[in-house]
Amino acid sequence: MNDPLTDVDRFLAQTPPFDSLEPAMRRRAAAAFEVVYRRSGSVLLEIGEANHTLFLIRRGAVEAHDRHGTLVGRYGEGDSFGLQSLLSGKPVRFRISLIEDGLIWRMPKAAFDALRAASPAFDDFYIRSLEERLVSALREHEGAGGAAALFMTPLSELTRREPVLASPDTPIAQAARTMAEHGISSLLIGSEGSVQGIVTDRDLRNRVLAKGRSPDEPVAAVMTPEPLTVDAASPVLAAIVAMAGRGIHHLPLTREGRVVGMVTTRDLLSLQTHHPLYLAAQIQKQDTVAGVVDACRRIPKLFDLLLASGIRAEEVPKVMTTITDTVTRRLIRLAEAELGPAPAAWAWLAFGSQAREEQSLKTDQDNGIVYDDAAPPDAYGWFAAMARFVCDGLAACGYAYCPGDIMATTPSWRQPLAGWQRQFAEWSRLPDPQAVLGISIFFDLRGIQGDRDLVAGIRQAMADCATGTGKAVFLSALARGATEHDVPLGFFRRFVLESRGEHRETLEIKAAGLMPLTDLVRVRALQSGVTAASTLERLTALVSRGALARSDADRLEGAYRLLSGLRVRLHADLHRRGEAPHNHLDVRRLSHAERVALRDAFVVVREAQRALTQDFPA
Amino acid sequence: MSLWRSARLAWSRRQCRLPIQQETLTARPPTASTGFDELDIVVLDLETTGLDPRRDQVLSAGWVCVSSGRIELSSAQEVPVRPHGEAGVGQSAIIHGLLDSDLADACDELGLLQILLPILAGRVVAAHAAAIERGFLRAMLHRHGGVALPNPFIDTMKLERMLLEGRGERIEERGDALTLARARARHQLPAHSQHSAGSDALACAELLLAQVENLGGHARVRLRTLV
Repeated sequence: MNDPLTDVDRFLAQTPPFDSLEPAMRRRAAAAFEVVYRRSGSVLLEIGEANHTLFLIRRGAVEAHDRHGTLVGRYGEGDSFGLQSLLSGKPVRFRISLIEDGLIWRMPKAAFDALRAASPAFDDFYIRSLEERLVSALREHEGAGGAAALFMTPLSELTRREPVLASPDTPIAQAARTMAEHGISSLLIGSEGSVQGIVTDRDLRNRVLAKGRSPDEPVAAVMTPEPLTVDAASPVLAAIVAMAGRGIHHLPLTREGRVVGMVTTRDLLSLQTHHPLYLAAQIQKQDTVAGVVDACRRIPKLFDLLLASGIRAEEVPKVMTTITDTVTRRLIRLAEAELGPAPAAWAWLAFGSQAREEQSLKTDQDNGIVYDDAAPPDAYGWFAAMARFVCDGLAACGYAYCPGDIMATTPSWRQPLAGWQRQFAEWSRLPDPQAVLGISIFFDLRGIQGDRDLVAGIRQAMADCATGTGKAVFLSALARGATEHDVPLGFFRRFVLESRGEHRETLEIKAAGLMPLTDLVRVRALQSGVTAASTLERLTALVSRGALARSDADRLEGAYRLLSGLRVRLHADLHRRGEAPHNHLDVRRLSHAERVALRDAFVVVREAQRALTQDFPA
Repeated sequence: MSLWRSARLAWSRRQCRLPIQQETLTARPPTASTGFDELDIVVLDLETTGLDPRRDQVLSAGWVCVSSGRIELSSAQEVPVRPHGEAGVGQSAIIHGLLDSDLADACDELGLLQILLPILAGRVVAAHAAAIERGFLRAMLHRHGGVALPNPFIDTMKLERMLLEGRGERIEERGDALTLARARARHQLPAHSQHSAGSDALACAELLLAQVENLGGHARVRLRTLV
């Protein structure tokens, strides 16, 4: 017998959170709806009224406007609205009106509450806090557990080698030649769909040469029949157990019954060389720039593996920055070995993303040198040579020269402490937001190597910039710069919805989210004399100084982790496909949960921007 | 209710030999001036073996109720009907996807009337090409001692023709311009899976709501505009 609600159910099955319901429960949800049809222009919810209904758009589109008539959102098929007033019992905050004729599904509060009571998964969708929603959207993509165990890396990540196969009637000599040509120590016998056996180097020795067999015999005579295989999706651990338990060294990988690759004990051994600690140790050990450059070739692979091994996407930039720091320190040591000891106390400074510990694949270098005011006059040459050595070395390692020349090789960014102090004092008199934006990169600053007191001296100069008397102009210019970024409203169908109602197909995740967030947290930090460079450290410091409410910091942290994690994942995808990293996220590739979380993140950033505007009126 | 209508209802009740219908004949049908938002409507679709109510048979009935201008999805129902006499489903199985075996646990014609008549009581009946539903209902009632239904009927196909003619559009006489699917598409309603009585009834109900909005809106349209 047909179910009259088949179409209704089909629609709900692909509409979160109804997709999470058990079929019987979803059927109950379907029956709880009432359907209305309204023409374009009709108002569905009015500001200030009470709302006791969950709305779901089946067909058509609506817009949300606040009491000033400002567009705050646009929603299409499968989107729900009216939730906030329904859940909180507070009056409706936005006017919701149709911009296209549409079929609107309404669920009365009683039925909505009954569903929430009956299904924890359904209830969870609505009661989770904003912060939880932000972070859990990222987790959906990640493997089980958060353990960063390399052992849990899928085997398919380990080997990209295509399987090499030969038919059972291939002469042994021909099989050996095939192995030599491909530089492999084992050969699969059979076809991709059905592997009949395996022949290894050891078999050629023990079963052919030692036994005096003719190389003209078919290879099937000396193969190990029906070799053990494992699924390519199984973790590395499964392969280790299988190989150690049977004393075998070759393990064919299969996917849906077809052989797709081969893992050897050597692949398992090389796995650990990709571990970040191992890579850092390798870099430390190098005695030549060429050696460091060579070790750095493994960085992109590390980036891939970090994600595959279950480390949280948003933690990856921190690990990547650790590697950059290690490379920088090693290059400094090598330079010192060549140039002799420094003529005075000094320190190597990192600015921008390295200072904030936010590096991804492919990143420019931003650095400088500070040295003791009492340095002898001839010290200049030593520091210039040091700068040249390290910057060139970094470039060779894949860290491109800064297009704006913010590098220690530029004389302005290689100064005694007094020079830096003068520079920051000068900046603090800049009145105009454009000029201030150009120098904001210097306010993310971290000492990488050398004298800590010198770094502390610069940080003090930086703090004085914002907190000294008569510095309010500078800070408000910085604040205005931070609030000028246009943060999107959310998504509409397959587009990003911009604040002026325009649409875009991709989301520039850095400009639309990360940069505005980083900028406004920087302003808050400077305002309160916090000199830490990383966004998360700044938030923690702001909370402990009472300059920021814990809940606001949690929200900003959630938004930061989401945006940062999505950016890392985008870069990893691009890298896997052999494309150059960029920050344009294709909206169609976002899951519904990610869209919802991103929309929340935009709200968090926009609200923080609004608060900043209130604190620093133009 | 006018005296004439009361008298006619009472007369029908006396004529009626079908107990379940007799009970339902006390419910008063709405008057022509009733606003759409005050109407209780049942949108009905019958799957039949053909178009002749005297010879052909009802295979399944699907319906959904509309009250206060809203389709109540909880009221959606579909009832398969076992053909009476020796006749099986025959050729129409190809169209409806209903096989004789599917109907093994279905109710018979009288059983359908037992379920349907209380739902029809006091409601306006709506259907796409309503003459078919009307004809089959009349034939079934006649076979079981019932009388003609007092309910007003809304025909969404007729409404669609009216809307198109109102816009000055010519309608291809023998074409399929007025089918449920074409009419829905004209109102930007989503595609639906066809040829199940239940899902067709729901599809027809959505069309009716769209048509009412285009005829002046749920708050202004009265029953007389629709019948």
